[in-house]
Parts: sequence; structure tokens; C-alpha cells
Amino acid sequence: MTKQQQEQYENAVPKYTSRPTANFITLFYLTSRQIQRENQQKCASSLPWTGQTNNSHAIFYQQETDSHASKVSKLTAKTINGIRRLLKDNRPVEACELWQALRQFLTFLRASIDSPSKRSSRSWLDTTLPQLIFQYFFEMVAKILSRSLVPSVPSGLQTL
Amino acid sequence: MKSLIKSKHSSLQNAEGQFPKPGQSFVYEHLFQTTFDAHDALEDVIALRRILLSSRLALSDEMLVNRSSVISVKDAAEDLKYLDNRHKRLLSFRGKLYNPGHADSPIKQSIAEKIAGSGLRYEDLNNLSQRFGRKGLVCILTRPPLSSRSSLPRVTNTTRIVSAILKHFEEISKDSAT
Repeated sequence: MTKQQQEQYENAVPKYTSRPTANFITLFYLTSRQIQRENQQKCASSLPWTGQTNNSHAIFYQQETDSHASKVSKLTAKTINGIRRLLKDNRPVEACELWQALRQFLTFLRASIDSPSKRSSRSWLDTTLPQLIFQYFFEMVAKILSRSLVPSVPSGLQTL
Repeated sequence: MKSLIKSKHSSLQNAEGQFPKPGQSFVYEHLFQTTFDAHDALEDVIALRRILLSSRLALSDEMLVNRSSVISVKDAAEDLKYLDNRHKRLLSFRGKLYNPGHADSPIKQSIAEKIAGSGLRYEDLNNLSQRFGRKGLVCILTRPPLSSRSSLPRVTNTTRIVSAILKHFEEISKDSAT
């Protein structure tokens, strides 16, 4: 097959895309490792953002739930009495929509940083880092979850 | 975890001098002699926190940051964008070339993902088949793209998979002709 023929075929389909070469991000403390996996739906229906049980919420993802995602998260979505509910082991779980979850998450972030003395662990990761990146992170999380443009990193934080 | 095991971190070595597998569950069990409900997102996070911050590994902040494969937000967002787009394209294959949960599905999800990941929707392959037939499909699926430096095929060179895709589109073509 000649190069010209291949060019002709390639021009008939969308351009080749490949996955960006960067490694997966690790959002320490904030998300499960499921978010590092390929299918966002795997984690979108279950995204706790803290190690404290009383601050965790399931996010109800309105779109179709992937069967593989259910196998991992053990969560399923069903319509009960005309209302879509999120179930774990066939029992309804407390869930909220993405925008509500995001708002609560950001409130949690601010509260965590405003009251560091309440924490038992006081490492650099617990204190200095959040103070440094809070404003940027606040905006970044909102934008990543809403799939919009991510703000540029402030110059002082680029070394992190 | 891999990095710690590779560097033979002493706290990960058992009495027989062996190291656990690099999975979070294995490392957790090794460190705490108990298990956790892996793949439950919240339990995963709690376990990871315990391993990294409250275990005998005693990891320094520097080590945590430098060995966590942290990447820039921009790169993470790019990756997310790529995956979102791939997923959208993947959905175009469902119920056609790829039937989730069906043993008789012409191709598996991993191949459908590979096709979608390379920028192609089901409709693109269908159009290609209609315009150029087998030659066009075989070329796009099995050849390295001209824009790529890699010598790897855009999708796959595996005859069985390519044949299944060709067969599917030939059947579609026959059905539409009758």
C-alpha cells in the first residue's frame, strides 16, 4: 500500500489521537484511587473526599452507569417510585448531585484549613501545603469536576 | 508502593526477607496484619492514609511528594479531557460492534476503547467501510498512523480482531443492500 493511499484513507477519518503521556494524578486525601482509573464513570458515582466517614457523600451521576463501574464501586442506580436512587447492596445510599457535592467539598476544604488545630496529624501536608495552594486548588477542583478550563498554576506553586 | 518495594524499604520486608506485592491491599495487610474493604472508595482512601501517614513506613513529606507521581494540574486536565472524549466515542460502538456483557460481541470493550482512543467513532469506521471497503478498514486499523512516530498499529494487527470488524461491516453492508 502506498503512502498516498494511506493518506487518502486517513483523510476520510478523524485525526489520530493518543493518550497524553503524563502519569495519573494522585489527589492525596481527596479522591479514591478509582479516579485514577480510566473511566470517570467508575468513580463518578462514588467520590468521597475525606477520610472522615461523616463527611463522605456519594455523588449521584445522572448519566448512564457503566456495568464495570458497578462491579468496582458496588453501586447501582435504579428508579424507585419514579425517582432515581443510588443503591449499594440493594439499599439506598445518601447521594447528592455533582454540583451539591462540589459545594460541600469546597466548604469542607475551607473548614479544614480554617481549623487546623482540630487535627490530630500536623505534617507539612496538613498545614503548609493546603495554605499555599488553597485558592488555586479551590478553583482547580471546581473546574476539573465541571470539565472546564483549568486555571494556570501561580508561579509560586509551580515547583510543587 | 512500587518505588518503596523496589528500594527495598526495610519496613516492607517480612521475616523471610520477602516483600509484598505492590497493590494497596497487599501492602496494607503486610503492615497491619488485617484487611480492608478494597475497591470501596472511602475505605481505599482511609487505608491509603493509614499506610502513608500512620504506619511504620514513617515516610517523610519529601518522599511522599517526590514518589507520588504527582503531575501538573494541566496534564491531569488534559488526561481527563482525553478520557471524556474517548468515552463519548466508545458509546457510539455499544450495541453495534461492541455489546457489553454478550459473549457473541464482535469485539471486546478493550478493543472498542482502543479504537475510540485513537479518535474513531463507530460511524467513522462505517463510512470508511462504505467508501473504501476492506482495504480502507484494514489500513486504518492495522497501520501506524502517518502522524505517529510509533511503529505500532493505530488499533491492532491481530488477524482475529480485524476479521471480526471486517465481518461486522460486511454484514451491515449486505443488510443495507437487501
